[in-house]
Order: sequence, then C-alpha cells, then structure tokens
Amino acid sequence: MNGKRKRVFRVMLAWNDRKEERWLTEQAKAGWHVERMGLIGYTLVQGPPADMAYRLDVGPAHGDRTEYLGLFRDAGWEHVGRRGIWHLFRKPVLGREVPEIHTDPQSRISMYRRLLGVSTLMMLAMVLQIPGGLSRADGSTARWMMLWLQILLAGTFAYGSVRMLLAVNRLRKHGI
Amino acid sequence: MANLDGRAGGFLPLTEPTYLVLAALAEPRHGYGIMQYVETLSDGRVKLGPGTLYGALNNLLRQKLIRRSGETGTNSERRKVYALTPLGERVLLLEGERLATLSKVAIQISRRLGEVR
Repeated sequence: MNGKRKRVFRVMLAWNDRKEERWLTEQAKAGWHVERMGLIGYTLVQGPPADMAYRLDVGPAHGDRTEYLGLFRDAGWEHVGRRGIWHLFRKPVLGREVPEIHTDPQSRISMYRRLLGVSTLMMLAMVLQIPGGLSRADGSTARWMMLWLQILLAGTFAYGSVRMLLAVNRLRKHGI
Repeated sequence: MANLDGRAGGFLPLTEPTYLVLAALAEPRHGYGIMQYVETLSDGRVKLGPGTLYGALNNLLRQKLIRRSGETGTNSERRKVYALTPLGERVLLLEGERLATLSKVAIQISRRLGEVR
C-alpha cells in the first residue's frame, strides 16, 4: 500500500445495504480499500486493486460480541468496522464463488425484521413529537424548522419501514 | 417420553440449515466446527455463512434445543462449545425419521420414472 488516503462522505440508508456493499466492492476493484468506517462515510486507502466481497450485517444489540465476531473470523471474514448495530466485513473472492455471510433466506428475514422494528419505533417517536411541535409553533423560524425536521424524519422512517416490509416479503417469496 | 415427543414434534419440519446444525451437534462442537462439519456432511453442497449460523445458534438456544457446554482454546481464540439438550436430540431424531420416509419415496419415484424413460 502506498498509503494515499481519501475521506468519502456517504449516507447509507438501511434499506440500501446491498447497494452499499456493491459500491465498496467497486472501490476495492479500483484500488481503494476501507481503512475506517465512520459515522457518515469512510476513510479509504489506496492499494493494489482487489476482488473483495464486502458484506454488512446487523450484529447483536447488546451483550458479548466475541462469539459473533469469532464466527466471522473463523469463516475467513475480516471485521472492517462498526457503525451502531451495523458491522462491515470483507473477504477476498477466490475463484468463481462469491462468499456470503447469510446463506439462508430466514436469517436475512430476521435481519430485516429487526431493522423494521427499529424503523417503526423511530417513526412513532417522531410522529408523537409532532402535536407538541405544532402547539409550540408560534411563528418563530426555529420552531417551524424543528417541526419540519420532525415531519421529514417521521416520513423517512415510515418509508424505511415500508422498504423493510417489502424486503421481507421478497425474501419470503423468492428466497435469497 | 411421550410428553417430550409431543413437544419435539412441534418443531418439525426444520429448515435445512437448522437440521444440519443439529446433526453436527450429535457431538458437542464449537461454531467453526459446526461450519466445517456441515460442509463435510453435505458433500460441500451446504455452506453455512457466519451470519446464518449465528442466527441459527441463537434461535436453537432460545428454543432450548441446544445448550452452551463450556469453552475451548486459549484466551485469544476462545470458542464456545454447543451441545444438544434431550429435547434437541428428540427433534433431531424425529426429523431424521421424517426425512428417511421422504427419501424412501424419492428413491421409488426416481426408479419408476427411470423405467418409463
């Protein structure tokens, strides 16, 4: 690695996890490898181009992560970083077979169900804030901006919940 | 025993990865051991990804079909070992009987179709 680095700002929406994985794989093909996973983006470091499978998984919410990370390590996956409940792993692609971390539709369904739960809760939390925001919207710009932000976030989480539901249904019907 | 059979029957049919994980735990193994053994058992046809295995182990623990049975390895590479509970063993055997019946049917059908051709 010659050590040239760049920081990439990137917002990942939970329902676009496969798209994010493909983007990271393309970066690796172009010789840019994830050095650090940040809150909203990555630090990439330049090196030889590589055929690399990147995979995102929703890890254990609480408790001991040693067993979880140990299984991935044993299966040859490198733990690249973590962002909240998301974990990023990578493994070189050798030969024709692309390695996978989920090999059964059921485990992907559980993953999207967990995301659906989080998204629905966040949506409810935001929706419940709106009446209070309305009653306080006394004409000051800051109050209105807060209200619009709450509505925007509620909408985003509602959209996210629908996307997760669709993902679960698609997996149920067509498998992985 | 009848009671155990009744409870065990409620878990059937198992998904293929779940059945193979239980089958691998006919002897206590750690997670990595399960991955390797399942691949061997299925002639390399079934590969268990670590995400799928982690979910399957957690489900089986919650359903009390398997239990934790100590640890192996040194500090840096410590691995938890899993074993079947009596209920898990019943589920494995009942599902085995069900699959054996099905494969008998499958063999007969394949032979018959073979004759027609």
